[in-house]
This record gives sequence, structure tokens and C-alpha cells, in this order.
Amino acid sequence: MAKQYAFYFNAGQCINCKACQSACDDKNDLPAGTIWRHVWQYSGGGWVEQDNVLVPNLVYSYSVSTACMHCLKPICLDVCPTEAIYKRDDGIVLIDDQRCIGCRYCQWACPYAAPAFREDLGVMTKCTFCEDLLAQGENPACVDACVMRCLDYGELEELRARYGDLAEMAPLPTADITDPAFVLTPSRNAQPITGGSGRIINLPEEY
Amino acid sequence: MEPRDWALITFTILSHMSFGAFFVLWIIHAITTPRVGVVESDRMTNGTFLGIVVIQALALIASLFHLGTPFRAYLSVIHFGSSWLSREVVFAIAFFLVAGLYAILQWSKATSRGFRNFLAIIAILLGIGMVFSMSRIYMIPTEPSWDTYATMVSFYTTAFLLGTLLTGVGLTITHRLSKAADESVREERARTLRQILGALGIVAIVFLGIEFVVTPLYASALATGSIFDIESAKLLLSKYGVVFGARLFLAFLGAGIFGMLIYGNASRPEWQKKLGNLTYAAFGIVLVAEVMGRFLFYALRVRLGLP
Repeated sequence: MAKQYAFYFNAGQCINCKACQSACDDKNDLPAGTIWRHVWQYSGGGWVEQDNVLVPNLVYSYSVSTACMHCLKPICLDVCPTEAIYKRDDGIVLIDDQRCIGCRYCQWACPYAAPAFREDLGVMTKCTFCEDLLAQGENPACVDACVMRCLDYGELEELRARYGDLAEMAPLPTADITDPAFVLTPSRNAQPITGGSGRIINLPEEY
Repeated sequence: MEPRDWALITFTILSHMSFGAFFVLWIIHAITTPRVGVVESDRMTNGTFLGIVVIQALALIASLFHLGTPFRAYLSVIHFGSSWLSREVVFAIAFFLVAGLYAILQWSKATSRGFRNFLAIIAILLGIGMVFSMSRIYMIPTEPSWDTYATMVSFYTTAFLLGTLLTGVGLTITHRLSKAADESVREERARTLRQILGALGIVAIVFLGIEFVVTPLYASALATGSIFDIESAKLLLSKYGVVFGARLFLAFLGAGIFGMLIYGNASRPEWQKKLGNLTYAAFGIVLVAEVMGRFLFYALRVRLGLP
């Protein structure tokens, strides 16, 4: 059994097709408005005038696919008043929907927008790492659906040995808050976590 | 701001006000007892103590409307060892129970005065703990505009500012409902009330002063802070600029101008009725100002990390 399951994401390969998100919605039967796996599109750049002509300058765009990071220091678990959030021995962080009271405090505390409130159930829900599929020896739905093969999962230590231990890039927050079980290959245009020149441009569809 | 957040505005404002009023009223009771006698000081304060407990009960009920699954609310006390939200719930309920017991014992004169005062001190400590835990709930790294001691100062200021004025309202209502046959007794009671209202007026001005020091400091700290703080400052001065200005104006009008009028005229018997009405008005205006302030508190959120 894994000590700490983790996701790997290669931002250089992602084309923002959202197949991971669709597969997640489908597998978990999520209603419209409840999103467990987001694909944030981060873009920047502008126009400069050269010889009376406006030309694009440093225009870039890249995407980051994120779900629950199943953090090593899950702040959601610390702040949850009912102990509904727990971390298993394999590192997966889950919400017990029989204990959750829907106070949404985990949503305030999580820097990765992972906990999602289900209006119809009155409780918080989030990525389960497809623990039911893992138990049957299958991959998480998002990983299998990734067309560009930029999403993967595995043991955190092994992923870090293979890809390095970077887990930050705009628009992600600093990894210091929760120590996410996440390994990132950045985009070649990757911006720093504070003071990046771009912004998330697909908020309406991701929020 | 989501509609559900209004449940939190109601809960936090009412519970802060309830604690602040309990504290202020208990001190007034303690100060007036040696001057007018315990029978008279009890008569003056009994009704208001009960009213304060009712307000705390309303606060607790309002908090349930924030939850997705309110009938499981009892589970929220479980994570006391780690979650400030659990601690808040425990302190809020404990304050309600002990303050309620005190108010009922005061009313019925059961048990000794020493024991009742002991209960009151416990209730005050629990109230302090309640406002402390409430502020700590919001002081989390992902919410930079909340993650500052200004949150704590503003919560305690709300408690004492509204609590002071609510106490004045409660004592005035009690006075107007009371019927003393004897003219001289009526005169004496009216004089005591005027003195208390005058003192409450000056206390309200002091807490307004604290608010007027902290609020600009907070706004300028936001404006010169991290990129998230600067976004919050922009919201405060552009989108919510009118609300912010109106909130400061109303607080100044209610606590400052009206507080000054109450304090300045407390010794004039012919102002008896006006003093009471000014106290009502001051309370109403400052309540609106504090609700606007708490609205801004939620509306200025600019999250660190993913939205």
C-alpha cells in the first residue's frame, strides 16, 4: 500500500481540454455547479506599439489541473469542527458525509478550492482520489481520461524522485501552507506565485 | 458575499452585543449596588440581564442557518482540540447557559449573592473566550484580509460599543415600565438613570475612538500590504466606498454626537425623556453601522490561492 498517494501534473503538455474534469464529473455523478477537478487557465501579456503598429508582446497562456491535493498538512482537517475530514494511512484525505454539517469552514481554509458544497446534500464534498477504483487496481478517472498524458498519480516519494519536488506556480498558492501531495512540471511560461503578470481567465466556468 | 453569510453577520453581531452588554451591565450593577442598595440595583438590571440572554439565544439560532445540515449541529463541538470553530461553539453555548442561569437566579433571588457574582464572572470569562475564538476562526492564512489582529480588536470593539448602548436601552425600557407610587422615589430613580446613561455615553465615545483609530490603520495596512490586501483595499475604497463612508458616518453620529449629547446633558432633569430617546436612537444607528462594518468584513475577502 502507498504511504502517500499524490497527483503529478505536467503544465507543459496540458491543452485545457478538460477531459479530466469531465471524467471526474461523470465518475462521481456531480451535479452542475459542483466541481472537484478544476482546470485553471492562466494568461498574461499584452500589446505594444512598434512603428505605429500594435504587436503582441509576451503573450502566454497555460493551464493547471487541480483537485484535492491530499495534503501532508491538511488545513481543512485541522479546522473542521466535527472531525468529518480525516486522512487515511495511504495519505488520501476524505470527508465523512454522515458527519459533515456543511459549515463550509474547510472551503475558507483550503488554498486549493478543493472542498465543494453540495447544495442538494447540505454537505461538503471533494475529490476522493477515486479510492474505490484504486482498491480495484484501477487508475483515478481523471488520470485515465487525460488525452495529453499530462496527469498522473503515484507514490509521492517516487513522483518527487522522478520529476522533482516543485509544487508551486501561479495561480497556485505557496506550498508552505498545507504541503500538498502534488508534483508539478511547470509551463515554460510559468509565473511566480506572487506577482505573476497574468490572471485566471476562465473563472466563470470554473467557479 | 453569499446569502448564507447573513446568518454569520447576525450570529456574530448579536453574540458580541450580548457579551458586551452582560459585561457592562454587571459592572453597572456592581457600582450602583453600594449607592442605591441591592434591592434597587437588582430591580434596575433584572430585566435587561434576561433580555441579554434572549439575544444570545437568538444568536445561536441564527448560526444554524449558516449550516448545510443544521440538525447535525451538535457534532460541531467535537474538534475542540484543534478547530477554533468548535471552540467558538462551546464558548457561545457555555456563555448562554451560565449567563442564563445567572439572569434567572438574579430574577428569583435564589442562592447567595456571592454565588451569583461568581457565576457572572464565569459568564464574562466565557464571553471573552467566545469573542476570542470567533476572531481566531477568521485569522487563517488563506484569507489575508481577515488574518490580522485587527479582526480581534474590531470584534471586541463591536461587543463593547453595542453592548454599552444596548445596556442603556435596557435600563431605559426598565425605567419607563416601572411604576413607583412615591414621587420622591420616582425622582431618585430618574436621577440614577440619568447618571448611568451619561456614563454609558462617555464609554461609547471611548470605544468609538478605538474604532476610529483601528479602522484607518487597518485600511492603510491593507493598502500597503500584500497583493491580496491591496485588492481588498481597492474593494473597500471603490466598490464598497459608499458603504464604508456611511458606516463611519453612522458610527460617528450614533456613538460620537449622540453619546456627547447624552453625556453633556445627563445632569439636567428636563432632559430625562430626551436622554432615553437619544439612547434608543444611538443604539439603532450604531447597530446599523456595525452591521455595515461586518458586511464589509465578509465582502472584502480576497482569497490567497485558488478562488
